[in-house]
Amino acid sequence: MTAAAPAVDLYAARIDNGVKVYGSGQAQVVALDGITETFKFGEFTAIMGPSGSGKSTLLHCVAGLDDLTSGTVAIGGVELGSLNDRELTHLRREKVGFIFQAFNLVPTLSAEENIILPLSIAGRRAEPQWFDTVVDTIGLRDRLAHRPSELSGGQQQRVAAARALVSRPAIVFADEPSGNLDSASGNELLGFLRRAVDEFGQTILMVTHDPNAASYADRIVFLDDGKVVDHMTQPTADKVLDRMKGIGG
Amino acid sequence: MLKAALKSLLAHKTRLILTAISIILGVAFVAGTFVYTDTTDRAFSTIMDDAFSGLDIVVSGDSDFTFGGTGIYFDESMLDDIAAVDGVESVVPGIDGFGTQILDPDGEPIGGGGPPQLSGFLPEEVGTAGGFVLRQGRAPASDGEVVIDAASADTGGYQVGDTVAIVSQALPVADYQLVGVVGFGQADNLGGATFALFDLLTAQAVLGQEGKVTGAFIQAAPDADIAALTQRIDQVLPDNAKAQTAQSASEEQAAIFQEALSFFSIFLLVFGFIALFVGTFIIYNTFQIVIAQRVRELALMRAIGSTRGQVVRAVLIEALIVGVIASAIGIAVGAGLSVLLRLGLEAAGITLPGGGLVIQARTVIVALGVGVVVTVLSALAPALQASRIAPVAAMRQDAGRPRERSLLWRTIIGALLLAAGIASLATGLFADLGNTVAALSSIGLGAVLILVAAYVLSALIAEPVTRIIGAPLARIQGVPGRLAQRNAGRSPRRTTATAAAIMIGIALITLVTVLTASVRDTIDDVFTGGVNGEVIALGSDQFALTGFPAAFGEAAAALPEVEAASRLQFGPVIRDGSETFVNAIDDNFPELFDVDDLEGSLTPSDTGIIVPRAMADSNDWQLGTTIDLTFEQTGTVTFTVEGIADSTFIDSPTIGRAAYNANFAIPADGQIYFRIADGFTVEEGVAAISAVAEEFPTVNVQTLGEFSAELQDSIGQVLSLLTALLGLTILISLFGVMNTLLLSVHERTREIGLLRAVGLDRTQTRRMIRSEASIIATLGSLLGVGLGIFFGWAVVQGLEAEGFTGFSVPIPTLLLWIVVTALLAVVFALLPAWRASRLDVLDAISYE
Ligand SMILES: Nc1ncnc2c1ncn2[C@@H]1O[C@H](COP(=O)(O)OP(=O)(O)OP(=O)(O)O)[C@@H](O)[C@H]1O
Ligand SMILES: [Mg+2]
Repeated sequence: MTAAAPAVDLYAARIDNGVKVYGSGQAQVVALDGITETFKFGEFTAIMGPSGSGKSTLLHCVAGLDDLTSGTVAIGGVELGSLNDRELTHLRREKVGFIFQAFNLVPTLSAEENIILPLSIAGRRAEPQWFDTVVDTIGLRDRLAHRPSELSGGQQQRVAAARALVSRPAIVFADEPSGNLDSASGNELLGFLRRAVDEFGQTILMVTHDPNAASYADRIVFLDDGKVVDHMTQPTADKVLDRMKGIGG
Repeated sequence: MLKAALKSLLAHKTRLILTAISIILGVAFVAGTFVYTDTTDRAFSTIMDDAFSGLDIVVSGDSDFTFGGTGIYFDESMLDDIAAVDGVESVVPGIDGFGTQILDPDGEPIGGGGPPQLSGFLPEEVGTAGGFVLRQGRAPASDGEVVIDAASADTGGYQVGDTVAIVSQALPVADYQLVGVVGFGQADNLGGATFALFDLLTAQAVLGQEGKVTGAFIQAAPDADIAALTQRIDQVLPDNAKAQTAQSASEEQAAIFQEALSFFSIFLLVFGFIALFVGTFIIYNTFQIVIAQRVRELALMRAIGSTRGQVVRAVLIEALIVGVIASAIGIAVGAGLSVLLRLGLEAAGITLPGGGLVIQARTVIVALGVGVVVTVLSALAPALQASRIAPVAAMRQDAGRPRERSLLWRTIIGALLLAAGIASLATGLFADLGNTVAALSSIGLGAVLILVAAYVLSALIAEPVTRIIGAPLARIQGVPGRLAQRNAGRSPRRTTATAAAIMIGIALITLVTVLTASVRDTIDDVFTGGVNGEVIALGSDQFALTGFPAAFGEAAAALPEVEAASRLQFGPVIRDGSETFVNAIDDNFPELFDVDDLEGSLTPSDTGIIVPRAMADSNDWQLGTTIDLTFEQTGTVTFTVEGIADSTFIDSPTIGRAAYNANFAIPADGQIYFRIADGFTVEEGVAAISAVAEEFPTVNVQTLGEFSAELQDSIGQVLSLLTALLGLTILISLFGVMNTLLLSVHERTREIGLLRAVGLDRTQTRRMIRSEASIIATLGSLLGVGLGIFFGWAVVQGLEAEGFTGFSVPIPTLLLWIVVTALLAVVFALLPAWRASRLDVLDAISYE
């Protein structure tokens, strides 16, 4: 990020006055209630909040998987509202990486094929050096030929993380990536995400319940009832715990 | 439990409909066949009831010939013998026979090509002779008058008063005045047969049977005991004539017509059962998948205390409901089908007597029974599998499909089925089972077993094979193709059950394709190699075995353009209790035809017979062996084997011309082969022979090349008809592909959502599903083509004795089928592909 870069390039993703309403009338739920937030390049942001506060909805809307009722979202300077399904899909494959809580991998493809999936879908090849770097970082070189069913849960999540990184996306979205893992595997994965930020300058937006997981982030956005209620920088698990009590989650 | 089953079904309407389609079509064929048969049955009975109204006793030939019979002719003196019997009031002579053609104004014969072309005597008291109803005019009263059936009158555009040209096996073409038109009840003709009716003397002349009759119609004295009188009359009759009451005569007549038309019924029933067989795989597969999707629900049932039996019942009740609904629809569709069939036959010139559709309780019971039983049985294996789901599966997060059973068992079962199938096929083809029905059943059973074995075993190779089939797609399309390739191979059972349905249709199509190609090859061999001549003359209607007057052959053979001519004759006989054919050759036979491997002579004496080499081998006949042939006219005659030869033209036991003329009522010729003399071109020869044929419109003169081409053409038509019907089974099986893919897409919601999230766009998603369809279809059609070629080869081996010389595999046609099937599968995959592309991406991500 040089000073000469245009202003839009200063952030990887941005949501402006985002509102998401589900249903109508009696059953109406306002999941996002006017959220404005910027995710800077090279920043690891965690989103926290009580269940039903709108964390996943925020993530989906910023990632272009769901559309806002009103407001705008931009990724890498491209505004999503103007894109059709095809353009959105192509944007996701080029500029976005995903790590979900579970079922991250295509069962019929090997670990390696899963890692390079977004690239192969686009008809591109992985840069060999970068691929090696990513694979060595997650430490799964000897498992590349295995099918997902032959990998442990932690290994599967690490493969997913490698997939999210290998296309050098503008931003990686992770929804409870360690939610299904024991604490050792969870820490391993989170440590790996941290290194991606520190060593490769990767931008990450992660939803989590877990104060320990959140402590790996640079910054935490607290949500409640669809609104941003607080921010925290340089979090530690204890600080997060304290803050959470305040929100009443 | 019923409520739960209904609910589950209604929740999946598409699944229900797609599964039902195969049952509906299968049941429709079966029900349609019954409705059609019953309807024509009733109609014929009605007509035949009236056929002999006002009569008491009918005398006719007593013959074991059902089909090929040409009628037995008795001396007219028989009528006097009958009239002399005490209690007989009046006797009307009856005479009728085959091979009389009514010509249209252009001189072309009306009708033919299957149904007989009949002629006979129409007495003045119409209605006393076979169900005729005079529509217009009157009965013929002199030698220049004729009455024809209403359908022929219609086709030829003839009105009462017009002149009609008629030719028979005995008489050259002559003009008659049309004095009346007859119908049969409401029908214009009888199952497509044409009728030319004359006064007695003319009828005898037309049939070449001066002074002869084929039967008699008798009225008894008012107070006579009919049964006793029938017996008394029978006593004065020759051995090969019989007397029966008018009632039983009309039943017999109706039965003969029904039998003649039963060909269609059998044909349709066979297709009904093929459709149901294909349906079995689709139903089996659907329930298999449905259960896989409901593992958790079923495990929960088990966990909260349902017994295995209850789980099985729950699944079977669902199958039962589908079966009942689909069969009911199938019966309705079948009734429609029978109407279509009737219209189709009418379009082909075969009008059937009128009357409403007859839907008997039997039709409903059988059709419903077959449909329901097939459905429930197909669901049985999946139901049993469902009951084996452990209650704990409800708790497991990854409640996958029921375990794929051990491959070892699959291999063993498949191998056993295959061995049994091949044994049964070989028995049917090569062993002497005595009768055709037994042989055909054995072949059919063998084919079914082999097809099932192929299905069972194909699951073992499905993965590698789908990889190979999908490789080009993976190459061209990239990720969508690669995913399709993997998806097609990921659950071999499901893929192969889907592909098996296609396999059956393609195997049958390949079989008929290979057989017809082989027949064409054989025909080509015969007419390019086996005959030392250039020109053939034959009856215009080869199907009906209508010959032509011997006078033609004599005149044509005497032409200067003709160097040599050989006249062949064919006729029905009974040998070893079953109806078959005998050939007759003249002394010129060796001049014109190549014969291999001759033992003995080619010029049989009056009691001599030449037999085909292969037949001699399988029956252990040698020179000097005696063979009994029963003729309709003359009864049983013993022949001695005087020659054994290998020739396509000696494909049945073959007697001499003199013996033929002595034993058949009409000494007509069947085919004549000519060699044109040096100094004349073939065209000049054809022209000269055709000139002689002017007077005999039933004779066709052609070069052998033309004839061979024509034969090959008509075989091509049969092939098209069969292919069209078998194509229907492929359509059914493509619904199976659609069904499987819809269910797979549903099952893979998460996976597809994930792919969409990481960048697979809608077009690519659709491409992935369509490619999977084409891979599954290609797996099926490759297996089908392989099996079909094998079946074809086996049949050709089995028929080698019948003169099959060629075995030909038309590779381009078969490749075309594979490609077309794959493309059709793509079309049938449009809906699942569309659904996949519309799946909500978020569904994949939201974690319960
Ligand atoms: N598809 C939907 N239809 C209707 N309401 C929805 C839908 N998805 C989410 N909601 C509602 O929107 C609100 C926010 O949901 P969201 O899934 O974003 O919460 P969350 O913070 O991710 O909760 P959790 O921590 O439990 O995952 C909730 O009240 C939820 O019930
Ligand atoms: Mg959530």
